[in-house]
Amino acid sequence: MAKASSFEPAANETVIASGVEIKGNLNAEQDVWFDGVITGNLSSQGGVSLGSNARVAGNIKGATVAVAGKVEGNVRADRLLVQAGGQILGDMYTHSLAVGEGALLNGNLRMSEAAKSKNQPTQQSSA
Amino acid sequence: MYYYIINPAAGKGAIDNIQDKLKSTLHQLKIDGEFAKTLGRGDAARITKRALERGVKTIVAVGGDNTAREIIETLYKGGHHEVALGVIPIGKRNVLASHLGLTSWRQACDVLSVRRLAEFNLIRCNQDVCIYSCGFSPLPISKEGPVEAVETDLDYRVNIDGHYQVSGKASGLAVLNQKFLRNGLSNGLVLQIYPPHPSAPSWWKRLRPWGRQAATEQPAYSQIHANKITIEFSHATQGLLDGKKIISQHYNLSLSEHSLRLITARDIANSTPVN
Repeated sequence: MAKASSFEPAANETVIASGVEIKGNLNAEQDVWFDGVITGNLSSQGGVSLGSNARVAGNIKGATVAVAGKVEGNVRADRLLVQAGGQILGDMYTHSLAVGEGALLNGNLRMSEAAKSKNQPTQQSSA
Repeated sequence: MYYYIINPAAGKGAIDNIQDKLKSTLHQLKIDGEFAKTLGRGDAARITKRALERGVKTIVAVGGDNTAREIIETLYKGGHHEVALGVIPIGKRNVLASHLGLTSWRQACDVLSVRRLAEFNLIRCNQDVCIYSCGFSPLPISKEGPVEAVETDLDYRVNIDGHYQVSGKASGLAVLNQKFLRNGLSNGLVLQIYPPHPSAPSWWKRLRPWGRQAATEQPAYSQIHANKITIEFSHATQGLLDGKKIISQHYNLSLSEHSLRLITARDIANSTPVN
């Protein structure tokens, strides 16, 4: 049986392993690697990576967001990657999207220029 | 002037073998000064106070972590933020010295002569302070009796900056000053949460033909940055503050308002050589 490997977090990263539960809003300045459970919003000025065990009941915001776990909330990102097994049950705001086979998306998708993570989409643009 | 506080018991009397060579090296580097030897636990604090009353501006701990910690506590509690602290590692435990990039007593002497200073805030933990780390683990189980000690985990609840709570089980927790982790980082608290002990022996998992999960990479520990950390455990735990033991169920941690100046070998941001 293959042995699960472990990695050493980089000094300025926020890393939450499986088995850790968070209540409240987590705001990080640098990259976030998340494989736990959070009831609240998760945001970073850098990247956000959700592992396969991650469960997020809240919104996510980051420059680059990669999802291999489950999100029940909205996601805002400049670049959004939903990996196989990843689930997003909420709206997505991004201008670059990649979805792996087997991923589940159930919500509205906005990919216009106004959908960049810095801006709030306020009205629908005319076609 | 450099004031050297020597612990003759450090490293099982290591100073006996190197004393003459040490003084000769310091003289050659033109950083010799006054020397004082401690008589026992707590004496480094007394000698430090005496040196500070005389206006000493650079104190050097010649010993291990315990010697350095006594001096650091004295400097902090007395509000002596302008005094610089150097270390010549000869003790059994030299964790602080290794964080400062000091590998031997000879190299430490060279570092003292260059006098590169970096400012480090202390970690306040309840009524105590420490400079580089606080570790939290289950209380040791008595080895007496027929029952063997069993690995236990901690049930913890942590409040981070009053913004969110973190909870779970862990084999141990640690709070460090991130400035020691990597060059370029400023003073700040880092909470590390070590995963709980495995619930079943690895051989049992190998025998199970079902429910095998693909091996996924997990971090060696969780890591969170904060300014203020409050930790609550379900039971009393052992805290280890730079080697000093305390026991409590609740811990309040924050960075000190003022920093301490340490002489370091590392090229840490904001450190400058001082002539």
